[in-house]
Amino acid sequence: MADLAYKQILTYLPADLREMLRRADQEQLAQLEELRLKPLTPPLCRFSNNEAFLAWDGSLVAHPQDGQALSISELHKTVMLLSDSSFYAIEEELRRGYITLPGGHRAGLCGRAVLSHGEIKNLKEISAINIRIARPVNGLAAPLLPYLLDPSGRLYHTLIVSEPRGGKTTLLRDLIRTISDGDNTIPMRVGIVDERSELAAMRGGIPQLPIGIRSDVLDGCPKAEGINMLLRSMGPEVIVCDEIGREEDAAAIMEAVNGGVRMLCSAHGASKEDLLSRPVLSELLQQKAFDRIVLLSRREGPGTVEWVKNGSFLPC
Amino acid sequence: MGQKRFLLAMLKLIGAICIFVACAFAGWHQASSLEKRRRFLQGAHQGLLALMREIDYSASPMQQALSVSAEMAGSAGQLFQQTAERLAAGDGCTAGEAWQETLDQAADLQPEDRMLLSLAAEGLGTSDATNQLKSLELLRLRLEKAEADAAAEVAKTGKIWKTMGWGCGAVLVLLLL
Repeated sequence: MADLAYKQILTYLPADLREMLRRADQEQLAQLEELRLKPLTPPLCRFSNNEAFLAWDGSLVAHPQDGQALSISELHKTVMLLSDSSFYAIEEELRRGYITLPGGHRAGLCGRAVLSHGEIKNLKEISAINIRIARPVNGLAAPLLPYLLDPSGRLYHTLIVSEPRGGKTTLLRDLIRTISDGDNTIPMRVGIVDERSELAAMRGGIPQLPIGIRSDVLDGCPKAEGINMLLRSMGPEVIVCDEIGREEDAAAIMEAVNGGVRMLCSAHGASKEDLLSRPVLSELLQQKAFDRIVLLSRREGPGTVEWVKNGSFLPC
Repeated sequence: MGQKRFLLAMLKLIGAICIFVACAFAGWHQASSLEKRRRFLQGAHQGLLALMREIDYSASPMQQALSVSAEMAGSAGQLFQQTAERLAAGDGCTAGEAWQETLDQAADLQPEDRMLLSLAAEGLGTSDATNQLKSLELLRLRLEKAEADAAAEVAKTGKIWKTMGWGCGAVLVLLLL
């Protein structure tokens, strides 16, 4: 399954790069987390604990000078393939800086921003691509469930915290799938505000990653508006938001909490102090918006649970 | 003796008919190839218009836009459809490359039409909607002109070819008889 995940991106790569990846050690590539492409430098493969450059014969080498540099035209061709030769159709994705691929994989892009009225309108002269391989991990949420369900079996208002690449989105997604499918829980109707298209990785209206049968997705929608829309239209029991942190998010979350809907959110941070130093999160915590806080780290790999505490940061 | 003459006359008649029909057919064939080219250019023009609409109003992905355009492109539909199929195959070719490959494999295209249509390959799907539509509009204008020229040629030269065909046939028959 892991092997298949990496192979799904091959059709979006130029022929030479595809061939190099085919020659590479497939067992190692099965663990690939990111493929970073830049012109005139060799492709960089990032794994969970190390990274290596790709050489012409498919070997993974430590020094960039031993790798096979990607030409400018190959990078441009990759952009074309990632856009399905429809650059005009991905203006919204370019504005956000990434393209969602089938399978939920994501290609992040860097280039020259085109501004209109002070806002990013488009990206041109693409100079770097980072393809992140999505791997849903089923069962990741199971050990945490006893801490996150109240005596009646409903989900506590929960905040999952980790630093970037700490596994919070993967855990959040598995939690969504678990409660939506009723996998050892009471099945719950879940509304997902997927502002960055990371949780469900919607493509053409179809979620590319498992999010459960009772989940409704508002894709690409700002969190505050999305929470209110879901409250009005879909009657969710749980609303999920990834990476909260803006002022308007806090108001919408409090509205949902006071409306009896359970909130399942994630935020960036590596400690309790990080959370309290962010004004919006600090205010939410002071208002007891969350009953459970889960801190993750990469200490033993992405998704390592450091602690689960209640809204007052006491162990539970 | 009379039967021999009759047979000879019959053979001459059959020969004359064959010569006349062959010459008329040659003239008709020349005229119809001009008409076929006009219809192809008209189809390509219509297909391009449909492609521009798909990009402008629906922002459809190129493969889907080409498939929809194929339905509107009449006798040039294969060009759009085969390009869409090449893209769908997902073997790492861009829309421009797929378009050019399809053109290269179309055997019955006039060199000037092939050159004109290959202009589309250069920027197909590579820019934002505004620039994509601008470049396709330029090609559309050139196709429109080529279509008008082809229609004028059909009206002028097509009739000449047809008349020349049966006229030459008639003259040859008279000379041989």
